[in-house]
Formats: sequence, C-alpha cells, structure tokens
Amino acid sequence: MQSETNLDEDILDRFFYLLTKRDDFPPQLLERLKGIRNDESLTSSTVILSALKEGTTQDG
Amino acid sequence: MADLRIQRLDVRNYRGISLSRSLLFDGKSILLFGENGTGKSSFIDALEKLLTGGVSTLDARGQGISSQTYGPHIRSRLEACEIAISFGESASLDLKSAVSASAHTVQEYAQAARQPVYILRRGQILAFIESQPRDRYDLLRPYLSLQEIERVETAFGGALNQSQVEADAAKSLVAQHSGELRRFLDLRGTTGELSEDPILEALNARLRFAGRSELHRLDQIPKSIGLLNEDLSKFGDISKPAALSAVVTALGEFEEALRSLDLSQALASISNLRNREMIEVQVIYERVLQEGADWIEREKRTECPLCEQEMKRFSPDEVIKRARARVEEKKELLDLRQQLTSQLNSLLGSIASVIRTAERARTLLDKIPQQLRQGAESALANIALRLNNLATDLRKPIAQLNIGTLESTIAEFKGENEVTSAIRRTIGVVQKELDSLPSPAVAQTLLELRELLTRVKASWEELVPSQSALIRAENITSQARIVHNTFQQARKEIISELFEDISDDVDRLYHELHVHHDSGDRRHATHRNLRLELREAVQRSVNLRGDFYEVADVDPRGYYSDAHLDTLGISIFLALRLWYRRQHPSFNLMVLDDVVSSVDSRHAVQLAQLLLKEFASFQILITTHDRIWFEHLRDIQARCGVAQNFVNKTIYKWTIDEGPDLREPTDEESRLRELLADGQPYEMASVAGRLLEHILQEMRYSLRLPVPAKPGELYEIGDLWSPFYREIKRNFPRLYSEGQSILDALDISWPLRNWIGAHFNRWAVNVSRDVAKEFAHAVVKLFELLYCPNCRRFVAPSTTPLGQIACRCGDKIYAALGKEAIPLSVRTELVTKSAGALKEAKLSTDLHIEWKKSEGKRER
Repeated sequence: MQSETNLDEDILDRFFYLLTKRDDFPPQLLERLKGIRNDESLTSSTVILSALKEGTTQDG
Repeated sequence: MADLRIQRLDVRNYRGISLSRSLLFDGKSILLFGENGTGKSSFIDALEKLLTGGVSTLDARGQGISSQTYGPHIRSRLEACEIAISFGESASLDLKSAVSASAHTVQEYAQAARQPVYILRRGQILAFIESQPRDRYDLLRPYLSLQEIERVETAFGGALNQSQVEADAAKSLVAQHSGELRRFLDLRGTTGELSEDPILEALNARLRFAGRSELHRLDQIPKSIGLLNEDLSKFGDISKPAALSAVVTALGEFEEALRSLDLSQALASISNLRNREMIEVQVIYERVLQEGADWIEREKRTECPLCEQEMKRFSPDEVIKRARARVEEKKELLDLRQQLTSQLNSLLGSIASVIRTAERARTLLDKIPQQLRQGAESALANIALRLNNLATDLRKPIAQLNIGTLESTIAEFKGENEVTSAIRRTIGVVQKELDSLPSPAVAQTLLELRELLTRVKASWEELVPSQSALIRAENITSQARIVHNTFQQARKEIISELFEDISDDVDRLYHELHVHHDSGDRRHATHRNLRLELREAVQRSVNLRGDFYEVADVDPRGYYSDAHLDTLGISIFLALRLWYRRQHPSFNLMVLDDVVSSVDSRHAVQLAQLLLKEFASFQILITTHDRIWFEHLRDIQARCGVAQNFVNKTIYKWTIDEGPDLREPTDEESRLRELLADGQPYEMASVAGRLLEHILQEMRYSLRLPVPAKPGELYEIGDLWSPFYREIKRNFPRLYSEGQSILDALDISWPLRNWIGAHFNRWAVNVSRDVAKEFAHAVVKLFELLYCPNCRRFVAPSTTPLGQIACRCGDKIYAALGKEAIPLSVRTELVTKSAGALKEAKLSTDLHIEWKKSEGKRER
C-alpha cells in the first residue's frame, strides 16, 4: 500500500542518512545494510546479524 | 482514474435491521437523520462489518461481547446476515464473496478500508484525548500503518540480542581458558584479561628451576618440548612412564580443580542479598527511579512517569532529588546484585574448566592399562554430568536459586565419596606403578615439565582466538547497538515530523471550528498551537499539548471545557482522516456517527461548514439525531453549492420486526395516487395514514409542536394531529385559509389512521370505499399544500418576515397575516441588507428563539 511504502521508505531513508553521518560506523557495513534493503530482507534478524558479522572488522 | 463511490448499501438481519433495507447513496454523501434508537448506527455497524470484518464498538467491549455473536439481528443468525455495497458497473463487495475476486479498484478500496480509521462515533470522540500517552500511540497505529517498519525494528532488536548472546558465550570461553592457565601456573591472584607476559614469567620460573632455557615468546613452547623430548629419549622408552605421569598429573589437577571450586562466596552473596532484600522489604526498581528522574529532568515534565498524573506533593525538582537519593541509598543492594552476578559468571567459567579437566583425564586414562584405572573413568563421567547440572542450575534467575540444594551439591563434591575415593585410588595405583619403573627422578621432572608445557600450549592456543573472538563479538554487538538505536532515532524523527504535519491540521481545523471565538490569525488565538508530540524519553508514546491564553505548552485536558475537548477530538479525527487520504488518495469514505450531539449549535454549524468545504471530495455518511443540525446542514449544503452532492434521508421510526423506516414521502404519495384509482379501501386508508403520519412527523420538527414526550418518540397521528391543527389555525392563518377544507376534514377523519392504519383491527376491515377514498384524497391534498417537489422540503416558518411559512426554495409560500409573501430572491436581498442582523435566512437557534418570542407576543 502506498502509505506503508511512503512512511517505511521515509524512515529507512532517514535511518541510512543518520548512519552515513556517523563517523564511527564502518562504510562497508553501511553498504551491506543498503544491499539488504534492496533485497527487502531487513525484516530478518538472521540476515542482519550475518551482515553485521561480515561487515565488522576485528578492530570495529 | 475516478474514485470509487458507494452507490448503495444493502443490509438485512444485522444489528437493528431485520427486513432488507437500503441506503441509496447514488455516489453522493448521505445525511441521515433519525431519533435515538431508530437504527442509524446499525447501517454504520453493517458497513464497518463488511469493510473491516468487525464492529469496533462491539469487539472492544470484551466480556464475551463481539460482532460475531451480537452483530446479527436479535432474531437472526450470522449466516442469515446480508450486507453488500455496490459501486455501480457490477463492482461490489458483500459478506460472502472474497475481496480477492473483486476488481482491482475495489480491492484497493477494501484494503484501505481494512482499518476503521474513517469512522468516528460519538463515544470515540474523547477516546484519543482521554487516553494515556502510550495508548494514544496505539490508537494512531492504524493510521500510520507501521506494521512493516516495526518488523524491521524487531529484526534489528533481534540481531542485537543475538549478538549479545554470542558475546556472552565468547566471554565465558575466555574465562574458561584463562582459568585453566591460572590454575596450571598458579596465577590465581591475577584478574582481568590474561596476557602472554605473566604466563611467560610463570613458565620461565619453572624452566629456570629445572635448569632449562627460558622462553621469550609462547610460540617457542614446541621448540622447548622438542628439546625436552631429546633429553628424555636418553632415558630409553618413556612412553609408559609418560602416560602414567600424565594420568597422575591430570587426576591431581582434576582433584585440585574440584577442590578449588568455591561456591561459598556466591552462596554467601546470595544469602546476603536475600537478607538485604528482606530488610528492604520493598523491591527497589532502580532503573525506574533512575530513568524516571532522567525523564523528568530532561523533558522538564511535571507528570509522574508511571501514572502520568500531575506531581502534586513534591515539585519535579524535589522528585528528581528524592529518586536519586533513593537510588544512592540502595546502592549497596545494587552492588550486591552486581557482585553476585559477577561471582556466578566466574563460577560458571570455573565449572566449565573442571569439566574440561575431567574430560582430559578420561582421555589420558585410555592410554594406560585397564587394571590401573580403578573405575576412575566412570567416576569422572559421573562428576562431569553433575557439574553440568550444577551449571544449569546456576544459570537460573537469582530468585530461583536454592541455596540448600547448591550447598548439598558442593558438599558432595568436596567430601569423601565414591567418586573422590575412586580418583584417589587410581592416583595411588598409577603412582605406585610409575614409582616401580626404573626411571630416574630427573626424567620424572622432565616429564612433568613437558606435560605442563603441553597443557599451557593447548590452553593458550585456545585462549588467543577466544580473546579475538570476544573482541570481535563485542565489536559486532556495538555496531548492532548503533544500528538499533539509529533506527529508533530515525523512526522517532520521521514520526515526529509526521505529527508536526498532522498537528498543523489539528490546530487549523480546531481554529476553523472556533473562528467565532478567535477570528483572524490562529497564531494569536486563545486556544492555539495544538499538537501531538512523540515523547522524548519514552518510546511509542504520544503527548497532547497546546497553548492556552498566555500559558504555553499545557495539556488541553487541564483547561478546556468538555465541549472544546469534544471539538478537539473531532479536529484530531478529521486531521488524521486528511492525512490518511493523502496516503490513499482514491479512498474517500468518511463516516460520522452522531458526533455533534455534545457540541453547541454554533460549533455544530461551524463543523457543518467545515465538512462541506474542506471535505467536499469525500463521500461522507453523517448521522445525527439533532433535527436542528440536520436542517442547518441541509441549508449549508445549498449555500456551499454542494446540495447536489448530498442525499438527505430521514428515518421516521424503528420497530424490532422491520428495522428503520426509510420510506420517502413522495413514494408514499405516488402509491396513494395509484390506490385512489383502483385500490382496496383498507390498503388505501393504510397508505394514506402512513403518509399523514409522515407529514405530521415533519411538521412536528418544523413547527416545534408541543407534543407530550413518549418512550422512543414513537408518535402517531393521535399524538400529533391536534397540536398541528391548533398551530396552523392559530399562527399561520394564510396557510389555514388556503387548506381549510382539507384541514377541517382531516380533523374529523384522522381517527381512521388509528383504526385502519398500521394497527389492524376487525372494525377497520369494514371501512367503506367512499370513506377511505375521502380520507386518502384529503391526505394527498395536505401533502400538496405542505410539500414542495422542487426543493423536496416541507414548508417551515420563515424569519423574514416572521409569521411567513415557506419551503426552502420559496415555490411554496404562505404570507404572514397582513403581509405580502416575500419570495426567495427578495429574501436573499433582505438578508444581505440586514448585514448579519438576521444572519442567514435560516432557522438557527437564535432566530428560532426570536421567532418563538414573537409568537408569544402575538398570542398575548
């Protein structure tokens, strides 16, 4: 539905914008999360955790 | 693509509607008038049932009341209910057909209508205002359609929780391997992360003592073991003594590990904590105190964070001070809890280490002859099992820990029992065998040193990756927390912005409804800046705020009158409906069920104007039991130029057998004309009676006839005729003179209605054709006298001039005594010239009172 799309997209856009503004968040992890958004898999905690693991280096 | 608009709503056997009844929208809005209890809301319940699958007013009541059981007519069953809406051109929805089988546009309409966010009932007006902030958020959820985004947030929360679980597991592994190394090297005094230096230092002390070369790094251990092997090879075959020595060492270490397993501190802490809690009696909710104090301070709130009521006994500053002092007072208790948690975590690491030691000893036992083992293997397996059980018990919440059970378990481990006897017996037998071997003491020392190096190497090799894994797990948890918190922040920001948009509409609509109080700029209105705010400190919670005269940022409930709170509730609903329409542009339905009953006439008129101007593109179903407002709205329809968009309907009465009576007077008149030609006397008189009753009901409203109250307001001809006849004769002589013959005839023959109308009796069946025809003819003439087919309205008293009686369009007009009839065009001019003194030429409350006063004077 249109409302869901709009509001959801607004929140997700803001979420990614806020993450981009952080200097303590790894860019590679940000890209991975964007990829998950494109795949519409952001409702899976397993997929997100897997991305966090793959996108987080040893030194953070 | 044009919006779908309802053409008709058909209902049967649902709520108060028994026989088949239809609301004919014809794609327009409907204004439905009916006294209380005449079935208006039954149509709305049916519409909601069809579109949403439930009836919110029934389903929210609980205690066994639901639309499933109480929705059907009292004399019907659910299967017999029929509800359908038609959109024209074969597009329709009904209870029995699947929505998925409908046209795409109908499916889209039905999807947008799934949540009843377009229906406002009288009882729901204050629901949002009077709710607590958290409940307000829940009431807004259906409008926001946040289900999908909440699933995303839940997924982020789930990822954070899982990463924390994995970090805790990594922490436990590090504790386990660190504990082993500390035990092997007697480093038990040290705490914190174990690095290479203290291990090297302890190992080198042993190597120095044995006259061996020291290590610079732990990765030199294999080389040191190689050198030891070379030296040991000089002693011949050392595999047997090596194996025996390893078993003795391993069993000794197991005994030592088991002995050093110290539950006493943890048990003492549990006991201490419980004693302290008993002294405190009340459990301290330190987080509540801490966060509550933070919330009050940060947001400068004046309500209690728990009950959300105004803090009266203490000022907010005092409350913050007391909350923090209380947290400080309880610090000892908090420290005790923290200490116990830490001790239990450390204990779990030690237990895991003992189990590992037992497993290692079992592996080594396999390498020595069976007769030397002395049942130690089963003893080790037994104790490993019991230790695992102990660990499981210790992971339970603190409140569930049973000190007695834990004490007896640990006593079994520590005291003499079959297990410890078997271990000691095995050590004795193996040591005896080892001593009997021709191996010099030097070889024994070298063997022990090699065993130590081997075990340190193994534990270190496990500790290093565990430490790395822990760092990594903590990094992942940290990122997961950033992601989760950032997402919550994003949702909060967007919803806050959304609330700002909606708040602007709430404030604007409220101002429109009160423009007679505060004309001009709404920024300077006395009730202004009304807004919904997402609470900063509490997730998913909404405050309602506004400015009131010179006081800024107050809760309107504290200052507004009940009527103003009602109009605020209506404003909030309308603002949300506008917002929902922006999200679903093709969904235009709005239902207002008797929502003006609690607001006064001026606000009601403002609401009518607002609805007709601002919501002109909506298809609205408005019900009301307020006849004056009904008439206002009809007048304003014409004035706003939207009369052609409205169907105005009246329910005349309701009976349990049939439901609401929605018949139009013109239908009854046409039928009566047919019957006059060739109808049966009984039928002719019956329809004439019904039309007469209909006419009198209308005139009761328009002439404000003084009629004694009756239960359910089910007035019949007998109740209405005399007041009507008297009123016309006394106050409207021109009308009386024009219809005198009919009125006088009916004054004599009206009892026919009761004899042969709706109430069957044997006497009535025998009425002659001539009598019935005369009665029917008089009723048709009366109808012609009072009803205008052009504007489809009955005549009503006019205010310009007083004493004149006319229909709305002026086609049907009877002048006041001694005056000329003033037609509509002239009347409009008169209103304009009066510059508001007479307002619009309509029957507002004020003008009605003016008219009644004048009437009183005329009577005197």
